[in-house]
Amino acid sequence: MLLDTECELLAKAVDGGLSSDEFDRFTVLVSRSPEADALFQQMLEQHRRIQALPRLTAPATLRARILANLPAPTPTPTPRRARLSKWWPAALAASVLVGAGTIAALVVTTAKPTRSTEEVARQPAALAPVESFKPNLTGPLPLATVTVAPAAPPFAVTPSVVEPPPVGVAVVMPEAPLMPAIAAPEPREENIFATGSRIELKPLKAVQVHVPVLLAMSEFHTDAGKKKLQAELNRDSTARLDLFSKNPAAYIEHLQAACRSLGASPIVEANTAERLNYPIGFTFALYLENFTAEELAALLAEATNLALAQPKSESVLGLAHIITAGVQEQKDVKELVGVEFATGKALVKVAEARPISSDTITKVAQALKKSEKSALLFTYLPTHYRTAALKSPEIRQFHEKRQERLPGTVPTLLVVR
Amino acid sequence: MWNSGSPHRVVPLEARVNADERTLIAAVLAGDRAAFAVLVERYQHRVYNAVYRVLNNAEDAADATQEVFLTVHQALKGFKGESEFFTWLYRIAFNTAISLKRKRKPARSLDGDGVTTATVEPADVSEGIAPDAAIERRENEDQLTRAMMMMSTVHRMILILKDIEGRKYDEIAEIVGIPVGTVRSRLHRARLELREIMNPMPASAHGTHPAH
Repeated sequence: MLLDTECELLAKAVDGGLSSDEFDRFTVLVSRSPEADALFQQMLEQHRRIQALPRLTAPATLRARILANLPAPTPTPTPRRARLSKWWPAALAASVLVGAGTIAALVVTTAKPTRSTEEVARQPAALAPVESFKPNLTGPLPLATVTVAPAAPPFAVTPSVVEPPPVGVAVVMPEAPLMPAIAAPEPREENIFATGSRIELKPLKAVQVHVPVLLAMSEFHTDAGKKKLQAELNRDSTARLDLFSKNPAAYIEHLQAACRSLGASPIVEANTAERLNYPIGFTFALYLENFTAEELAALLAEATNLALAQPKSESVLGLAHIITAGVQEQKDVKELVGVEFATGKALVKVAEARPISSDTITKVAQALKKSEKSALLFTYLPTHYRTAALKSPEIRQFHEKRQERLPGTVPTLLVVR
Repeated sequence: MWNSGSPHRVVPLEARVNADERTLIAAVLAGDRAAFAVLVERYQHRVYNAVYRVLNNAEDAADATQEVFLTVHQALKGFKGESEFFTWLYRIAFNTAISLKRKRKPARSLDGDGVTTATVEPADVSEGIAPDAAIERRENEDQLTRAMMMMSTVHRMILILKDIEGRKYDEIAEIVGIPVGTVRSRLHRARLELREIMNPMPASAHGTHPAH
């Protein structure tokens, strides 16, 4: 009888959310307990069946029905506070005007004749008339505000034009500060991005756009499919194919068999071999070298033929996405295969062969013929499950068997998702 | 029904909702009906798919979907962006589906009498399947759907969110309003419950009654 914690671990394995410690416990559990293994397989099968349930679409008339039943927009009532504030700034400005006028009158009548012209000049200027307040009634009314125009900062350029205050705002001008005018800063160097391009662009006559190609994997074995594949794989010096399959483990088996039929026995990294037994949550990748575009198309066609020969092939053969390998692929192949993707340069040092007799050399060379084509299968995702090329004995073995890259071939990364 | 209080700290709207959704939401709040129509167009199929899996009836699912979007329209000003917009929408969708399920007459027959079926998305491009395989596939789907309808509503919801909608544990926790640890344990119990229902359940079984 399985414990609750064991059942939870199995369910978590189905969801693909195991940490590396949990994965170790999980593999021990299923290898030691047939009951646990059977339960896991059943839950996994159900999980796949639920995932495979068709996506339903809403009826075509539903959207119109929803929109027709939306409540009609109600006009926004005038807030009470705004009505009150409509008159408040005008009243305040009027009282300030009256007060200022009174002060000015007092100053004029009581001024001593000995005041200098400078002192007279420094009297506050007459207050600017207040703009009439016109509230905006077309939309939601903001609260009207009274602002005091701030004193000009010392670094500002003396304005030649005073901008009128925005509508709805009463402005009370303060006493003009006596600040020396400061010259405007030197204009900055022209920036072609900010100030408009000076590059004269010739009118474009035609633009060629290459979009990544989507193909059905079930068409790989057809003439049209092979032709399309070859054309895409010949486009650039390296390629990446994402192969979407609902049963990646089964498809990888077909890929491996197809590789062998073309004379390349894939080397499988050790952790990956174990994970292929319980592949949920993992994405695997197959790195292929010294295959021409035609040979790659033949390999994929063979894998499709093998899949079609099995029942439920529709769950194995999904869609393929073909793109040119870019910067990310360069990094991944460097990290996981130990090869410069673009140039083929090996980054893993292989132990030098010990000197042996010529007779033995001949025998060994015949028995262990370095395969022209190379294939390496490894874990691609999640990234924390990756095995670095330098740490894997299998990848060292791959490098020992690996030949120099042949011209006219297309190194390819097949990512099975 | 569910605890609407989120255990998460308040995160600015900008942090959880993408720019496009932010623009749409702002436009809807300003009274733009066309913006709301875009939201409906964008999410109606996903909402419909989710509520259909709870209700297993096309008419009820359409009613529920309509109610979801009307609720969203009214409640949008209260959406603070503490979660992703679709997570919030899902929460409303599932609550609405459960409420509707309780209001409707219980245990409609699943034999096909009076049960309207939903439209399925067009077949996969890669399909080169024989007619027999299509029939077998449909039977398997029906068997699985019947079995899921026999599960408890909570378990069925969590399974739908995980396996069909592909939500992560923390998203399910937000939608359902339970801690992440509870989501895990309920999910594993849901899988065990489904397994018990389906084993041994022959493919020809019918006339099932949902748990509740």
